[in-house]
Amino acid sequence: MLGIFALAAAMAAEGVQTLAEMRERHYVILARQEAASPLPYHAPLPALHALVPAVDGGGRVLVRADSAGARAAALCALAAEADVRWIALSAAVDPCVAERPRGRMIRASAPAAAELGGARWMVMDAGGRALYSSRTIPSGEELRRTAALLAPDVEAGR
Amino acid sequence: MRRRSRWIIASLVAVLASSGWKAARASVTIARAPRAGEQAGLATVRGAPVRAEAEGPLAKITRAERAVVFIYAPDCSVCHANMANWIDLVGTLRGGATALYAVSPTDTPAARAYWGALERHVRVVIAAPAQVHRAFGVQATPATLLVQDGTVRGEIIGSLTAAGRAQVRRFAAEGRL
Repeated sequence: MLGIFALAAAMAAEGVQTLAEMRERHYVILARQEAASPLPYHAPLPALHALVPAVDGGGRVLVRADSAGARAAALCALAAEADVRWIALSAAVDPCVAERPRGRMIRASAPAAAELGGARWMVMDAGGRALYSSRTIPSGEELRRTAALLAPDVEAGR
Repeated sequence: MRRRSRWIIASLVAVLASSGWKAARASVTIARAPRAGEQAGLATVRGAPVRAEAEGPLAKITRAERAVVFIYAPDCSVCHANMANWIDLVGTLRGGATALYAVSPTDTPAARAYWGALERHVRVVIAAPAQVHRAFGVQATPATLLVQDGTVRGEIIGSLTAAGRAQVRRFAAEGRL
């Protein structure tokens, strides 16, 4: 009886240890995954480039308009930002974003949606290449700073 | 016979005890697993001097009081995936006391044009692969090096995790890892 009990306990301990290692690895993988941006730097985005034409040969800041659930407040805070082009991939768009003036909300085509992938927002250069992308909703200050940093105009980045 | 069964019982009790100990340690690991994620990608602490030739392209990095060096290659896919992290760092560190360098061991037009508008804030240095390897002891890209007074204090190979980015910011602000 004791033998069976000892064997069962040894197997259970082994199982718990494996579970612990898997859980630890899971968090490390999540951290590594977060470290890779959704769109590679300089990745060509022809469908998005065609959908959102460049103005004055400058870059474009695209923000995905789809409902952000718990982070809706952060997304709504960006609604006031100028020079942001909103891309809607699904019908579920937060009202605060949907009420933006016409013309700034763009319904994504299937190829454009595929190009955007898991990115929540991105900066695209005048040639239609990805310069920056992120899965998280930025603050207005972060968005403006990144756009200015990547702007080709020398004065804009100072 | 009795002595033998005593031995068997003692062994089984030992197995039980070790299983209990193993399970307890595993429980602690389970509870601390999120911390493993938070600490993933921290810099490897080093103290090796930068071995750059006195008149070579990398010499100015050895003279910097504090510098963050991004080692990249234009044909490296992990560098492309990591670029957003470097852009975030440039955004927060530009104009500060820490010098920002981007070093490419590839001399091509793509390598020279890689940083684009960011060259306003990052000094791009093109050097031969042997020079880069000799100076920093780095063979893989992307690499982020934390250099202080001619010594490589820390090195992060691969994409920068949130913990790695925080460490680079701390180094730039306070000079410690």
